[in-house]
Amino acid sequence: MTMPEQKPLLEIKNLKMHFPIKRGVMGRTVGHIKAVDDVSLTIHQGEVLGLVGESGCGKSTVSRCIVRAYKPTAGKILLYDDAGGAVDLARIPEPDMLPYRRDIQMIFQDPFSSLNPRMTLRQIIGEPMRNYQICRGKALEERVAYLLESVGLRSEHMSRYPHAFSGGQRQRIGIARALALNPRLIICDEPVSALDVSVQAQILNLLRDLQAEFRYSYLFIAHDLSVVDYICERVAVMYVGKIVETADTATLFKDPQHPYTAALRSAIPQLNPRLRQLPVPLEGDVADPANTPAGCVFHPRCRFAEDRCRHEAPAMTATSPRHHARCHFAGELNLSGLSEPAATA
Amino acid sequence: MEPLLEVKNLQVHFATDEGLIEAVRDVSFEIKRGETVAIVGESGCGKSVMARAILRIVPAPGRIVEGQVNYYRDGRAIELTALEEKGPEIRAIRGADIAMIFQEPMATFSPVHTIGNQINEAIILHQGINQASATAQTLDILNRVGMPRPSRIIHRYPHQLSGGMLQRAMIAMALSCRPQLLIADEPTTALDVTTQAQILRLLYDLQREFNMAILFITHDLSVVSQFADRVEVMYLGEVVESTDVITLFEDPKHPYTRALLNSIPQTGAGRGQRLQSIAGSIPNPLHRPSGCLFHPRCDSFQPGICDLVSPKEIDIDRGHRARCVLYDEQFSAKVSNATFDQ
Repeated sequence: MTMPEQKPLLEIKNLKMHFPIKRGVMGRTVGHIKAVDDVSLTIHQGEVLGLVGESGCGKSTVSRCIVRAYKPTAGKILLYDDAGGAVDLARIPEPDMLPYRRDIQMIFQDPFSSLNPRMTLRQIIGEPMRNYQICRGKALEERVAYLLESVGLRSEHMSRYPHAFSGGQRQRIGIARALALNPRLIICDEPVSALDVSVQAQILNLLRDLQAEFRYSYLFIAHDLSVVDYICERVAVMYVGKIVETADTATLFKDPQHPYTAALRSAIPQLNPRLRQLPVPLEGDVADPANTPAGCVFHPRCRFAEDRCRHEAPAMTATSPRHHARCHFAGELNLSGLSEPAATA
Repeated sequence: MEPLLEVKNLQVHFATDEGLIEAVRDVSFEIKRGETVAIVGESGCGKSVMARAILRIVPAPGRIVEGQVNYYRDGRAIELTALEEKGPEIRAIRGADIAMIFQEPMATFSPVHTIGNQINEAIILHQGINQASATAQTLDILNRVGMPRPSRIIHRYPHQLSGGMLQRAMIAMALSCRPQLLIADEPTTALDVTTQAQILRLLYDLQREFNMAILFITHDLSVVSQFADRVEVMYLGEVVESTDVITLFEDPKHPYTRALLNSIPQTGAGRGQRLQSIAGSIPNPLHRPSGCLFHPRCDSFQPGICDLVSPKEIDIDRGHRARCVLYDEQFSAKVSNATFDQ
């Protein structure tokens, strides 16, 4: 795969989102949940970046910080314009967000709760364009029809309500709404995990076709590595609020440098009954983000942990120009036993 | 080997205000001792209703309208479908001979009782022993499911445990009376992949230790490939293909099974290629298609046959059945001609 021009679109620098834990009648703050702790990420123009991790790792919190549903505790979220200028979405006052919200749209996980049941498709998909006074009347109608067709729905259905559509079709409606404003970045938050298996492939193909045609940039959030492998060029792996590894997709699966990535990889059951392993790559539970372990957050579950890991938090280390891992032993461990099993027929 | 459970021509209907839903239609299969049978299907295919029908806990307004479920104990068949739904016979079987675990462990446990008390209750109910020996058994079973520090866990309430731990507690409760058959309804769907791997491994080990059969209900074919001995593929209430797990993955016959297998993204395999998707979506159960239920989405659809004829279950090979006219001699000549004409 050839790399697209590497102009940054969104640059997240040392993002922190800590939620206070309040106790007692006085609402005293007794601690913090470090949902996102020092995350740095760059999404380039036209790139599909995957953000993977297990539930509670903070991946959705990152996306909510980007659209400013949360005001980050610290850090920068730089949105670049075409000329190379940037604005810090983490710091600008709420009313000034309006023009930038247009550039960043979201596709949600649950197509049943993300569409207003009292609005027709015309209203749902037309609303963002009316809000930004892009078009109205006949022109709006035409644009809605065009958007419906481009996500594989029929334009004559625009007077219907969401309940008339199946889960997969509703997800298409959500995608049409996200495309309405020609956004520069689309955040897909688990867009297929609530869908039936036979419908997932349709939606993944649609997202990929749209990306290929219009060069959208996606931040693709998922817990399913095989879905990420299918759609993303580059992947960031998150664990308890921190990015632990970033690499090009093929590299990440072939040659993971962080033990967590390797474990995640080998936990996916293979579609081959002759290759039965039922491995248990990780014992124990994900660390509590309110009470993170000292040193490396992954050390209590890591089979390679040494004394150093219990005391000293590792920094992100580059093992090659496009491959980074947050591990003291990045580039030194033999994770091949845990990585990609023999390709299945 | 003798069967442990036999399901024959089971039909479950839901009479709703909008119309009749045939949730399970003419389903037959059997489970042998110690065997793992997977029921695979997407939402609305009737897999969970079917499992509940075995234990006679189909939620209202669902009703078993036809068919039999036979459970074999000491060489004697007990017809579960003939028992009274709330009677003592079926209640003696539920939780003792046949236990069930669910997708949502949070919904299985009562939030106001401790884990220990809830597992004790099941043991006392079925074994009629005193509190102290029940607690000893509870600690033992919690230990076996790999629960850290069981003596502390028994005093905890469900909300104080993580999803994986609760799933272990639920498995412990289900196994506390040493069932012959464990019905597992999507037991790992709500869990993360690494926790899923732990739970699958645990079930696998416990199955060997207790020599129990498992009826594994799931939508996830990759879990099936790692776990099942036999597979029943369901679509809109019918079993469309039934075979052993190796054949299912290497020589699937029904177009639905084939399409489903092709549409699943796999890591490493075919990176950069488009997925083969299945057209359309699962029909509303109130508006079932005529003829073959899968015909509107099928890539082998033959007009004049598939939209008119309800396909019969055809024996493809020993232990391999598929519900498709492609394998029906009565139609196969016509079908191959039609294919040739195109």
